[in-house]
Amino acid sequence: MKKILTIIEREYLTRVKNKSFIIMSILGPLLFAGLMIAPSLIMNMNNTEVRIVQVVDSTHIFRGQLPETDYIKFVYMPDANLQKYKSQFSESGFYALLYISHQIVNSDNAVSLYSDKTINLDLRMHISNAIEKRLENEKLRSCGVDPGILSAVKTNININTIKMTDDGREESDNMTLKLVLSYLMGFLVYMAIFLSGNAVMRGVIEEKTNRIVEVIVSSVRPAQLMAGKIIGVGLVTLTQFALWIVLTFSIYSAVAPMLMPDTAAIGVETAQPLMSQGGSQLAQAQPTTDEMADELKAMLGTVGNINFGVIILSFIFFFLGGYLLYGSLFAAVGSMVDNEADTQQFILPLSAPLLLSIIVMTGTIANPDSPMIFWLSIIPFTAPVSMLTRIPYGVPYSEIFLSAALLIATFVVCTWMAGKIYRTGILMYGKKSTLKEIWRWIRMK
Amino acid sequence: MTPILETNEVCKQYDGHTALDSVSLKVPQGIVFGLLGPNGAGKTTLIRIINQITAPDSGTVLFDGHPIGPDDISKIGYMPEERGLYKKMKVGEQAVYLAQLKGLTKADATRRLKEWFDKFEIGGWWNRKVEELSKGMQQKVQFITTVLHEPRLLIFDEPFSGFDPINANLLKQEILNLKDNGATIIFSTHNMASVEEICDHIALINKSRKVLDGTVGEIRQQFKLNLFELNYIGEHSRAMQLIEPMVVVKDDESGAVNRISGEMKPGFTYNQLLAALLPEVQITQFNELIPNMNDIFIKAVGNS
Repeated sequence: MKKILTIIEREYLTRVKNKSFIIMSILGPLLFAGLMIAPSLIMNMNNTEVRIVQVVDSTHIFRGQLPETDYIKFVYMPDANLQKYKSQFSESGFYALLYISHQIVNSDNAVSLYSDKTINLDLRMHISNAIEKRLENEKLRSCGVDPGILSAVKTNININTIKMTDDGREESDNMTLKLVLSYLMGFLVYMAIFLSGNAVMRGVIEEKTNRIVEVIVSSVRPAQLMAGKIIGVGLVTLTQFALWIVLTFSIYSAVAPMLMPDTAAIGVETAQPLMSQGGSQLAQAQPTTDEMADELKAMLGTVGNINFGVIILSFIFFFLGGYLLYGSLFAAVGSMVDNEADTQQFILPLSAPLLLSIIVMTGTIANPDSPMIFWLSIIPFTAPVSMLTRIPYGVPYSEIFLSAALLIATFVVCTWMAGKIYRTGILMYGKKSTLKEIWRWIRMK
Repeated sequence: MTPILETNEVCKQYDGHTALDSVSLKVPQGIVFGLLGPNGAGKTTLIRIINQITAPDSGTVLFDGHPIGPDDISKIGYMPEERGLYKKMKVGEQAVYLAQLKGLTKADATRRLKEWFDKFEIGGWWNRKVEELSKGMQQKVQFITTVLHEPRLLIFDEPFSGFDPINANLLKQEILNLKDNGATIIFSTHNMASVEEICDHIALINKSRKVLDGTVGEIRQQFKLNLFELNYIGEHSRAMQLIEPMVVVKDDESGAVNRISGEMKPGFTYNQLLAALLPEVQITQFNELIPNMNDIFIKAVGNS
């Protein structure tokens, strides 16, 4: 036991002290924090500049009708002399010149936006939506639709999804939160298993090609060496993830307030342009606030309903189970070959179940209870990823236990076989291992 | 005294071919035991069984009189033929790690290593990475890590491969020092010259069976062919005539000093030969030609 600890210590320390680990630990959080901050930052920078648009309207039906926001303002010109305003544009100080020709009722191309700058999509969408809306109303009115009816027609739907549980309670169900949790856990476990599995394999090959392995197995049992390596590498991966999470949030919380003083409003600020691009709520000046509140309420309601105890326990269990299962198989693959190039033929079949569960993961959102995902979450080789993507949507305990039991059983059998392969494989050089031979290694005393 | 190591009828099969067939050996304490044999004879398999890296299909291995077990690992030091170190690790750290796996504490290992590093004048390597060292330097580190835990039984598989003559000599001296300090050494090699120099006892394995076993002196006696070489001053034809009934002459040469080499016919002794010659010629040199280990090796392997 003490020897396993010594092996774990070496595997852990040599990897953690390695330059690439340190670089990854710093670059990762910088990248993640950058990805979190950048979009808000860009939105903010665009929005803080107030853009005044000069409107030259030859139809006169839009005067005063275009909705303004905090950052987009309109100034209506008294006449429709486009040539005059165009020639004066550079001195006028306006951001852009909007020309609406009287062809607008018949032609799609009757509106032009002039500027000496590149017009951003945000502004274009805003104007286009506003004009369409106004024109639509104008057409309806001209067909004799009453303005009262028009405002009564305006609807805004926000669907509350409510899940009825077996014991007859109703829980508000927010898909967004579950989706995020499901994706996050699935990807995290997939990445962890794949990256650390590969690290284990490379470690085994390194020991083999360095020819140090025979010295070591004369001091410890091959199984101890294999176990020590798998556990050591697993701890390194956990350390890496922990560092990423802690550093990402430290950087984010340190940098975000500096770059964006109105952090509190970020949620609304960023969401607003996105939503207004959808165009449906354009008629309201601040259309999104209520919706956001509703969404937030639903999310918070869901947070209360999600069983985090089950999620955390399952995450730990399926992560460990999956990693140990694949770690031992990757170690066996490493022991069968003389160099990394030869691993391809074994890696592909080994990682196929993992890839499959990631591909199917997207389907989980559409239907978390489909038979395909159900079976994948029971089959031990796909269960670590698939079960975790299902868990946030709620999985009966019986299914979790079945899947867990199968995973443990498979883990025991696979580790035992991997240990046998490893024991013989590490001392074999220059021979291509055929499946027949490997079967003999497994049966060997 | 109980032999430090004893194997009884050890058998091992791999994929249908027999690697070891009923090999029984006794390694007495405090000697250098040469384990010889051509490539693929089964030496490495036997050594791996002694090191408990693989288990025998049948047969037993006794260490110091009891069946060998995990507790004996720390009493054995093994330097395999296929040897190496972690390239990216620092020399000192690595040596401490390997010593810890043999059961030494970190502090003990560090203290002993410093002594050995001073002895070999390689103290400056402690913080260098293994990949920066030459192959010969790596071998020195390897040797130190093999003997650091002061094992009672040391197993060297082809220890001199990769060493230059100076370092090979240093290594030889160290092996003999270890013997003087009471350790038993099993020494596997093809280098027959070094066998004669340092081995007390040898066993020869060929095609998975033991074909020879005994002290170096015994074995050479066993393989002698009653060959001799004789130098004398006197009449050559007369001498040839005198010895003719007792000797098959292989080669002769007349000159200022005459020379005859030959093989004794069965039933005759060197004394009878010399008695016949003494009255007639002046003998200047008489040598019995004892085969060297190289000849014995080739002969024994060829016969079996």
